[in-house]
Amino acid sequence: MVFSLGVVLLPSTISSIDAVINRFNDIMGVSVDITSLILYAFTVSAIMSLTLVVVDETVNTLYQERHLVGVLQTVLESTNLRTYLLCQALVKPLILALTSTMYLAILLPLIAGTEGLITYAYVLPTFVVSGIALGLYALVIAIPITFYIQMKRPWIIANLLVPSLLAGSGLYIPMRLAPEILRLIAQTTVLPYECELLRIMLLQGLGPNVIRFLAIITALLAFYTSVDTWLTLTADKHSRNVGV
Amino acid sequence: MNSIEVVDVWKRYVASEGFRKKRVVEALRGITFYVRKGSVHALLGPNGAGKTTTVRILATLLLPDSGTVRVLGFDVVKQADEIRKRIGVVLDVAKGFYSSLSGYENLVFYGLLKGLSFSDARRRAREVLELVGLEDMGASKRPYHSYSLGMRARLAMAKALLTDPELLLLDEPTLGLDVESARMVRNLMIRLAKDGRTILVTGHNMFEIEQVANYITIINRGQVVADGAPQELKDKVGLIHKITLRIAGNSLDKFVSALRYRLGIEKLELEQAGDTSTVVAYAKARRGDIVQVLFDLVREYNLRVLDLSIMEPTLEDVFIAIVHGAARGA
Repeated sequence: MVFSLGVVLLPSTISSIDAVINRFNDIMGVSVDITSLILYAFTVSAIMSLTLVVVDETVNTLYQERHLVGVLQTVLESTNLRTYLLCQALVKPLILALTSTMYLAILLPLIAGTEGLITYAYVLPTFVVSGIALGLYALVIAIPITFYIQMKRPWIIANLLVPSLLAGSGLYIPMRLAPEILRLIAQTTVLPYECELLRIMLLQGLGPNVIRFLAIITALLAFYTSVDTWLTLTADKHSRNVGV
Repeated sequence: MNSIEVVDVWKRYVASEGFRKKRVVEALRGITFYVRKGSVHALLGPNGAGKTTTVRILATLLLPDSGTVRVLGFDVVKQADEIRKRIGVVLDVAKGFYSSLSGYENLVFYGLLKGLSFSDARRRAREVLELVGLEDMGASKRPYHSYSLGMRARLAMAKALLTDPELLLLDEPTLGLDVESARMVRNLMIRLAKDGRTILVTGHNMFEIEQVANYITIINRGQVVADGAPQELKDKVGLIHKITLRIAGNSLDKFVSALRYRLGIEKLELEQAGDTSTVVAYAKARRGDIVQVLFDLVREYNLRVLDLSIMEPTLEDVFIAIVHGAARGA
């Protein structure tokens, strides 16, 4: 939160706040006031926490539960792997999306009153959908790491992936200005489209542009779901053949 | 009626031995056995015999390569979900729970996974904690990582009993436990068996198995080498009984000769002290036959029996004889 606010408003310490707002408006191609700018800064900070918790939790927890803590076998005594992975990819991200962005429900109305509450009401569904999409995306990485590839420190993957995704998705700057390699990595997720969607919604208001990004996010969700379904069935068969 | 039917089951693993070097391990080689409903059935065998693989197949955690396995009438390959709902499993007493959660919280979580409602899961968690004695130890609210091995084993048993299952699969449930915890687990097994539950238990402690099991299957190198009730196994093996007999009376020499002849005794020691004699003999015969011969001879030669003991082979003796016999035959 502080980081987000700092990234947006820190330059005002060496110049004036008006200069920062003007510069921001120039880069983004919008015309917003200081309140909207702060609302935007706080809202995008939620994407950071959301990405961090969902990707990290999904990738690392599955590996740890199988290899380190050893509870996966106990879990599978009660339920099947398909149900368990479905919970990892859908239910947990849903809960994490709600809990990791909950602070906005208090913060945004405090800053901007009713406008803040309305902002929260229409960014929340975006976070929920993005959280689930990130969960499904993370599962595509988590299943091979957990069941097929032998790695000594698999958590490195999540530790490298999350900053790359955040940097390449145009969180604070338009995506076209982000380094190409990071942009390519980020484009495999819903994050850049979510950022664009939020930017439009928060800085320009709801309009026809929103539909394009919603369509991309939906298509990615469908793609992840298909890949995850195949991976989950394969992992289920594999784990019952060789043991958990 | 059988709770478990395992027919001609094969299971192979590919074990990795370094880079690009792989070896096929045949964990089970056509294993067949049945577990009767309401029995306590012990699955015995040396390390690597295939006991845990068998239990994991029965618990639907592993698929057999070939053969048929039915648990409570359901096929382990096609109806795994039905089986999971109806069984309780203890596979590793030392782990399998979330370390930062308390025993109670872990049980509620696993109860929910088993399909219990939240209120039922909480109620059953409290009941089974009481049953295994963790509530009395004040451990139910403590985080799992602070549990001793004995407490972990109790919690594992509690988890297996959450849904009040009709079949329990217990893989070495007392491994590494202190005397008190092992006794608790043993007594619990006896109590559950009296309530009519079917229990399949594996282990290495023959004293314990002899106490709880009413049927035994011995496997070695993935094959069944013997099965039957403990006494049947002892009879099948026909191990030597040690007879110690203190008698008084005349015709002792005739009695000893007849005893040698009738029981085919090769080794016999005779010790005389005053009017009484002590005969120590090693007979390779069934206990019932020995008793009958002794009874007949004592009457025939008009002797007075002062003391008699017939030491039968322990289950450990039987197990070693069977496993070594199978190894020699292989």
